[in-house]
Amino acid sequence: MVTHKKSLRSRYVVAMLLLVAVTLVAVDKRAGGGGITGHIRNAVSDVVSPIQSATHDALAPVGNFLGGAVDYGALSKQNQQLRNQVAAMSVAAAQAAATEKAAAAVLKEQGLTFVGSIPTRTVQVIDRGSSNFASNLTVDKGTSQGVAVGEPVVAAGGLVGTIETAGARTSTVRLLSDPSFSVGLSLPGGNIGSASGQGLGRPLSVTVDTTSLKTPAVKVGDVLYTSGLSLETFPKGIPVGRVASVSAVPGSLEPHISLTPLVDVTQFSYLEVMLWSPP
Amino acid sequence: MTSSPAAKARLAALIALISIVQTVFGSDLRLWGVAPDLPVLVAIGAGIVGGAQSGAWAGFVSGLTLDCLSPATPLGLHAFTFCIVGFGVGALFESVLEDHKLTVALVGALATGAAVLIYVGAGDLLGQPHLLSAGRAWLLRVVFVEAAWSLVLSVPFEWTYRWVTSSPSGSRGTRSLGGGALPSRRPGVQ
Repeated sequence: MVTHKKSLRSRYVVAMLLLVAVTLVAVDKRAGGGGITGHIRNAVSDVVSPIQSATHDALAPVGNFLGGAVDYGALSKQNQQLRNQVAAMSVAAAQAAATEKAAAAVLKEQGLTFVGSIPTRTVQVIDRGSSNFASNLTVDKGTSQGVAVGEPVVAAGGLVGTIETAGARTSTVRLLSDPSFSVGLSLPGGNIGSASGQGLGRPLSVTVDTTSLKTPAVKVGDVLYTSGLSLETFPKGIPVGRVASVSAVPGSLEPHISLTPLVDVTQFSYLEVMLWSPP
Repeated sequence: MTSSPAAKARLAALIALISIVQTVFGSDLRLWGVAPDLPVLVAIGAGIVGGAQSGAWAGFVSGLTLDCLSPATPLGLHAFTFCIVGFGVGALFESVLEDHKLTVALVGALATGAAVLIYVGAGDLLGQPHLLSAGRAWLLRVVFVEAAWSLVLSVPFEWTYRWVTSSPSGSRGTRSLGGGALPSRRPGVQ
């Protein structure tokens, strides 16, 4: 009898907890990341961020060690590739005429030349997103340091994402790969399109938006840039990704294009927030 | 929560610590791109040690803490998932299973795999279809890798949970998170 009562009580408790959880999910969904649930999360994030930063700094060597151990094979291969690249670059550098061009190209690739005159704020990644189903990360600057929702986030190479939520001292970055992410692109021949995230580790999918113009002649390996048109949430000319594949779609004039992001965010501890908002 | 205030405080600290380690360190522990799910071990440990009600409570609290710390997912979805997992594991150990290392490890792995599926399925039902956007192959990989982590970590985590929730008198792991003491999870134990 006692066991039966206890079992009933357990079921009642779990039912109430599940109801509370579902209500929270519904409220959060309705608020779209803002509202009361957004405020709660931002407040918690602001309180916990110093601890997160300290933990991050303390555990980073351990993580690097484990990462190196797990990915040893890949790192060796990558190391070999880099050595080959260095060797190739050394040969190129020996040619006097090519040296200046190569150096300029390297500088252009490594730098943030696409940022232009737009001011930026350097932010440190304090949470790379431990979820296996979302493409977000958390950085250590928020509204008190001038970071605002909607601002583009970049790194050497190109676009990383956009500020999704901003607390006083921390912000969340929605990455390119997130399925809810979309960015306008310039395509060859005056065409415009938009790239959308398809999930972690998957290339972006490009939709060609202009149909009255000649079909864009996009080749594998081309780099595509933000269009910066009015109502766009990104300035013009930020590199987004490299074309990974172009395939014809039966019954459609427009090709299907997939795009590999230029920036691998796992390689960066610091990112740049462009202090820019649409005009 | 547990009857003893000290045990409650220790459990709260454990949940906070696990959640912070998960958010800060979890991505560094990725194997084949998949991060482990450490907070679900709180729910599993609570279910094994304290029973269904304890598992449900601990799962809810650890899930909600993780939700608050990881803005990428809707608030409440981890709480929902871990609550079910904690309750289910607790119910199994209260009625059918015995507290043996191998059983704990296997149930930990299975419960973690189930947690991934519940999380994605419930998320899809509750308006988060993007959780499925990475495809079935990715989902299976997440299930197996997270389960493998739990296979290794369930037993040490159960010990940790027992230690954290133990009372000074030495009656370890026999108190319900929801309040009263559990009579017994297994026949002939108490």
